[in-house]
Amino acid sequence: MKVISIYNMKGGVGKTATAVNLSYQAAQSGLRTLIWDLDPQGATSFYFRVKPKVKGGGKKIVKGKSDLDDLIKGTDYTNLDLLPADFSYRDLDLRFADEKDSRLKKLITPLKKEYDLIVFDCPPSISELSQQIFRASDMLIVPMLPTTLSIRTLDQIRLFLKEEKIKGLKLRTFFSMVDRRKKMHKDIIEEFAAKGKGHIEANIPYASAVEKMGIERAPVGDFAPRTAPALSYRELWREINKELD
Amino acid sequence: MSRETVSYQLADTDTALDIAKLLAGVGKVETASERSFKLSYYDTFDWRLFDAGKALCVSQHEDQSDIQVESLNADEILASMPGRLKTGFADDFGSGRIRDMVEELIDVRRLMARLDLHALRTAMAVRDKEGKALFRLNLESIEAAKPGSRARKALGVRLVLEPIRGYAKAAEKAMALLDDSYQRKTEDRAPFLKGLDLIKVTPGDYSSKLKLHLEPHMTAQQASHLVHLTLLDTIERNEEGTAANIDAEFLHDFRVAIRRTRSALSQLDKGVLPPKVIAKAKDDFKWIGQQTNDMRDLDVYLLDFPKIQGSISESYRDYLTPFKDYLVSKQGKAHAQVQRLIGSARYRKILNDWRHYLTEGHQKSSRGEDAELPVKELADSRIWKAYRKVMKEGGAIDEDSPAEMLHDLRITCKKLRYLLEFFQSLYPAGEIGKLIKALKSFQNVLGEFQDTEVQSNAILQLGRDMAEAKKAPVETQMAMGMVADSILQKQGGARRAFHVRFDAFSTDEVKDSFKKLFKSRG
Ligand SMILES: Nc1ncnc2c1ncn2[C@@H]1O[C@H](COP(=O)(O)OP(=O)(O)O)[C@@H](O)[C@H]1O
Ligand SMILES: [Mg+2]
Repeated sequence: MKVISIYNMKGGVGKTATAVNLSYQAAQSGLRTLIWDLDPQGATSFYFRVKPKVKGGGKKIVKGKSDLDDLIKGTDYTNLDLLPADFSYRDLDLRFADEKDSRLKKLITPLKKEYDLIVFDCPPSISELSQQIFRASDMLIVPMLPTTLSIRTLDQIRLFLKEEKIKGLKLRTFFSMVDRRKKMHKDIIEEFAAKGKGHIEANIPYASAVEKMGIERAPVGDFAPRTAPALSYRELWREINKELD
Repeated sequence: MSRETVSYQLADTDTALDIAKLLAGVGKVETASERSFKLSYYDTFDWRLFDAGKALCVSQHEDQSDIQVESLNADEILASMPGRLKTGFADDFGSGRIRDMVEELIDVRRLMARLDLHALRTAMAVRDKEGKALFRLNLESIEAAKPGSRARKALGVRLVLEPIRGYAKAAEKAMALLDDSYQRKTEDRAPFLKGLDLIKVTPGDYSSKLKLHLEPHMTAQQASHLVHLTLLDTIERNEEGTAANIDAEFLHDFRVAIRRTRSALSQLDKGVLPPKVIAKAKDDFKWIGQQTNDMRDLDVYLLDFPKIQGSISESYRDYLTPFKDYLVSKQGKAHAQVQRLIGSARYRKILNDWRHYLTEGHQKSSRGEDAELPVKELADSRIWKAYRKVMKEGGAIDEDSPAEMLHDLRITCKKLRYLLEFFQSLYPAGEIGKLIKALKSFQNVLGEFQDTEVQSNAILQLGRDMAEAKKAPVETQMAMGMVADSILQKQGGARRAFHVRFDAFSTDEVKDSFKKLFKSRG
């Protein structure tokens, strides 16, 4: 079983859109996939039409008193299950603070038999929860907007990993919401691709089909399979999958 | 991930609309338009997936194609991926769950088309207010056909309810309603199995294991005939796949049956069948076997090619490509030779005459002096004798013994092995099984010892042939030399292993078992 996290401490960079669409692509390719919506706002759960509610809330989960198995919901797609968000996740930070650093990693180990891939959709913050997530993951995937400011957050993430002494975690970046007509986007992407270590070249374009996910409440690959963003997410998944083994 | 499905028996007249009306209180029933699917089922010639309780099918709807592995016991889909079969070998599945499930089972065998199911399916989903699916329903009417055939047989109409994880309550509510109106199909057999029934195919009707049931009260002659008829069946059943070169196992099984026949002729039939009959059959089957040697050797090289390549440093591996091309073209020629053999009048006559002799011809001919002996007595004495010979030859081998002695021992062991297998059913399964296993692991090292030498010499010879035909660049020849060397390096290890394994085979425990089972008290 592999674990990947879609992470950026900034909001609105396309984390949730990525988590939803990558999970969908992975499941379509035959991997038994679980997406865990860790953001108390529950956008991922919304996209899958599942109530953002978990029996017993985050507290019981962290304490190990909930069987994750009982909280999982099947999505409308083969091979794809969801662990929904819950409003109580807003204080997961505090809950995890009382636990060992590897608490989350331990919580998900029983799921190994059932899933080939776990995807965390992370809330935008840099915190106790983040370090728990990083320790539980094989790969950290950071969506970035093609702006100088957005790229600078990467240094902060690296610093955080170093300070927390988190090793063996693959860090991968890619650009999301790319507008090809903008010269600034093009320039930044070219410059970054040339020197960025662990950068994945598949870009996700800025596209109305992604915005429509909120109306359709489904991954783009489901309701608009032949559009540019759907194909880009598929390509992104292919690249990531290659680097997972 | 998949929850257990429940299915209901429906009548031909039941429609999706009836179901939708019935379940209207559970949620919003969404009915898709009817779609036709073709489900093509595959298994190896010897039914390896079936034996493991699985079935593999390619499900096609318009241009959408998925490969699915199903469980035969629970009638559920264990794994699914988009795609279709290209060659029928394990490589078709890329990497992933289906490959993990299937590769170990099918190994080098090819999947062959076994059954087509044509399904008309109306997919329904029952959703909550948010539009989330709570469970799914499939109304299916299925027909079965032989692969590629147009003649179809109806398998019936059924409704399958697929619960979705985390929404059990809704599914239970629906089941309660359905139970009131329809018959639930308990112990429903997978449509694959029912379909096979309808096209009159018996799964598991071939196995490469020798399935022989001898009775202790049979005479030696009756047993001999039964052994040979069983082997003859195996030979004939593998002809088609060998001629079509479907996979290398057909020829392998074919050759094992020929070898067993020859072994039975010299080990079992002496004194049982008339000497003249034995002599002629020995010549005939030797002749058949010989013409398949080249193809088998080449099959083995090709199957082992990834290993051969892996035996030398990565930087030289590409130089072996001309070697592989050469093997492929030689295999093609060797295969043509085998095709000619199987199509030849002489071959056919040998097999037909042999069958005729075994079924009725023997009544007119004389019989050997031991023909009327109870088979158990014959088995005891022949096995005991072969065992003694193995122990004698093995015991005489020390560190300095020439390689020939190991080669001879290998042949003696093979004879013992075949005898044990022929007569297996006359002895308690557990006990004789243990002895066969002990012998087998000991035979493996002997085999490796011999193969290393034969193979490394053969590779040098192939290198010479290629050079002569101007098909081997210098680099290829050098790389082949490395391969030959790395193979030969293993021989030392096999020789050391021999002593360890022979000691394990010489323990008092094994000795006592042989004595107890086979040594006559008279
Ligand atoms: N590639 C894209 N093209 C257009 N809009 C996008 C794209 N990716 C995300 N969005 C929109 O941007 C907003 C924020 O995206 P989201 O995935 O929720 O970001 P995050 O999870 O990082 O906060 C959403 O309204 C989403 O529909
Ligand atoms: Mg989000």
